[in-house]
Amino acid sequence: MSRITADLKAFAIQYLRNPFGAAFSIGFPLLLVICFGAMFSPSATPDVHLLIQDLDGTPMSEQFIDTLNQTTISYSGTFETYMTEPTYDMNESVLQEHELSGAIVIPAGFEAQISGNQSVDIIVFLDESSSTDGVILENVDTAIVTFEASSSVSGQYVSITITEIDNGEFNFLNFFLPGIIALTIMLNCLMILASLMADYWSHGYFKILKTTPLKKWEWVLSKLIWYLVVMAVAILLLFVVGVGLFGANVTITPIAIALIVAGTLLFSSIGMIIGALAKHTDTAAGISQAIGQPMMFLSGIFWQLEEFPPIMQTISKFFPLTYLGAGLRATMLEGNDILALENLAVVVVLAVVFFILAVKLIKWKEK
Amino acid sequence: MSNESIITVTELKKHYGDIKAVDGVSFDVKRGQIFSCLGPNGAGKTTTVEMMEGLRTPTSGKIEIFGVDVTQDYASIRHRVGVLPQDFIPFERLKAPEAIAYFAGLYGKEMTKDDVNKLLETVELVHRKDVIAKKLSGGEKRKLGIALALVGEPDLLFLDEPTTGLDAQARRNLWGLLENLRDEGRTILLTTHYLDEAEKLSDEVFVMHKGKEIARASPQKLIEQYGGKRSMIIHGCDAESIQKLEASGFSMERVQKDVKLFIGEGESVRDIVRRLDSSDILYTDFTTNEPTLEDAFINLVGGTIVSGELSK
Ligand SMILES: Nc1ncnc2c1ncn2[C@@H]1O[C@H](COP(=O)(O)OP(=O)(O)OP(=O)(O)O)[C@@H](O)[C@H]1O
Ligand SMILES: [Mg+2]
Repeated sequence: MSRITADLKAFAIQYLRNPFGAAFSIGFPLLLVICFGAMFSPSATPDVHLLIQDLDGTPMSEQFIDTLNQTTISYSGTFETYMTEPTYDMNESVLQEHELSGAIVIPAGFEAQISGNQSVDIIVFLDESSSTDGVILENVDTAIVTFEASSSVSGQYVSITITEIDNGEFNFLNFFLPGIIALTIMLNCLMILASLMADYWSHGYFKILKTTPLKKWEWVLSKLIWYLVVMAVAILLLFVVGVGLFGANVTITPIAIALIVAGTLLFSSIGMIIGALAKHTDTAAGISQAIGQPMMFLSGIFWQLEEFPPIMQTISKFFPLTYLGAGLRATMLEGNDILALENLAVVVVLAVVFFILAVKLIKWKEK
Repeated sequence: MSNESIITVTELKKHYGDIKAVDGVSFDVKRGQIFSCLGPNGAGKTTTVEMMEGLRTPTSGKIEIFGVDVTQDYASIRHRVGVLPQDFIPFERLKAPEAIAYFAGLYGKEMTKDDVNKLLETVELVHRKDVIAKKLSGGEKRKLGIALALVGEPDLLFLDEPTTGLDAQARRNLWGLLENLRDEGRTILLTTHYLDEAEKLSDEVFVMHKGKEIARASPQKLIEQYGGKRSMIIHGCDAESIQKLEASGFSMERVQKDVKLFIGEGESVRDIVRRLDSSDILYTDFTTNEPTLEDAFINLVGGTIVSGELSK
């Protein structure tokens, strides 16, 4: 145990003193999140398109609509209102179909109720995922205040009922975040560990360690522990940036954690195997890129696999990253535990196989 | 020095295709010995040592260390052995005290800051303790390697060319350190192609050439046996005296302006001086020459070692 701690500590110091290693491990995926976040997050001042339906058709309802149209609140984006026929079926899918930010329905009996000193509800449909809700509500509220203060009304009768509509709009960052986590694991464990191993060879570090009481499996375990720590930090950072800065809403689940651990084990093992076979830093970098890059683009990290030509979909089935990415997405984004567990099973089996292979293939000794 | 054998090597061979790097050597090393493996570049020293360190697998032959067959179970003796490989590169991003702490952990030794400092003092690296190893000079890296080999307080030390790259002062200091370790009862096997080093330090010298043993004995024995005769250099002879010398049957040779006289078996310097005087040979001064390990080596191998290479 003290040997593992000693190795872990020495390795951590060396790792942290290598500016390139740390920057690459954490910086690159972070950059991806920031790029995707900035590219796909809705603009700060989206245009507002508000649909109005007047089911009352009385002078008073028209007066309200006029007031609404004349209300100006300070908003830097465009704010447009449209009228629709009373016969139009205002249902939940309206917003999505017409790319509207919201809709207002003035109920039949609007005038009658106000005239009879009764309160009346106007219905406001709002898009759950849109950032324009506040602007619309502020606008409607202001209009109501103005309307109620007019001589023809003079009294507080109008209230609003809000119907939030989840129009299923796609947050791209949500889609990418699990993928970027998978990618981070792959890049670090496969590419960095492969060149690290080769580096150990070319510097004769294994030779030195072989003469000490440190055992091979202890060295391997110590690297796995360290990479789990690095992964935890990197993923936490991805989360903070993705969720905090760009409002992604994905959750870390126990299955996700299991996938992250198994994925780290899997790709570390593959990386060590490459490093063990290559023995030269350049060769190791070459091989790990030759494996890593196609995997990066063909495993559905950046594009959904369903959009791929069938041949590519078939190829992607041979990449372990596909299962890690799909599993993470299933549990973190879709909440589909069965799908996630299926992928976890694949990753775990591969991890065990490659780990055993790694311990077998890594030789500290020259012939 | 006791009679207990720490290392026993029997008919050890290592072949790389047609290259017979080590071609059937046998020797044993006793507890508390400094055992030097001496030979020119390519003699097979490193190959021999690395087989003993469990780093290379012998083609054939047997190595026993502490009574354990190294090819079978090196792991069980690792904690008792310290190693400095010839091509040692320190962990580049660790500072010397960190590397020492690392190895202390690997060998299961508790080391306080003071202990670490003491070890750094021993190898004269204290003033460089805040520098990452990558930035150390070649000799300083070597010193760090020696420190790491010592961390585990090993009973047996393998040092492959420990003084290569060290300046004269550091070499001498290291010799002192190795003698101290030997006096503590530790066994040291080192390789070198410095003849003076082997002569000064070793209890036993193993002269190796082309993978084979040339000779094996204490330096004194080797010199006695192969060093040749003692000699005297006679300075300031004029031409006439030289003629007289040649005529009087001395075993001699010219060394530039001077004359070298070989002292025969059973003869003493006094005898020679008397003969010179009685023959009326004029000279200003003389110096005596004891044979060295280099003389023995020249006679054994047919050349001496100049910067590692055999030079005829
Ligand atoms: N891995 C190897 N493959 C092929 N030949 C080798 C290998 N290692 C050593 N040799 C050969 O074995 C011979 C002995 O080499 P070795 O390194 O043991 O010599 P050495 O006595 O340590 O020399 P030096 O003083 O230069 O360190 C050399 O001819 C060398 O080229
Ligand atoms: Mg050598």
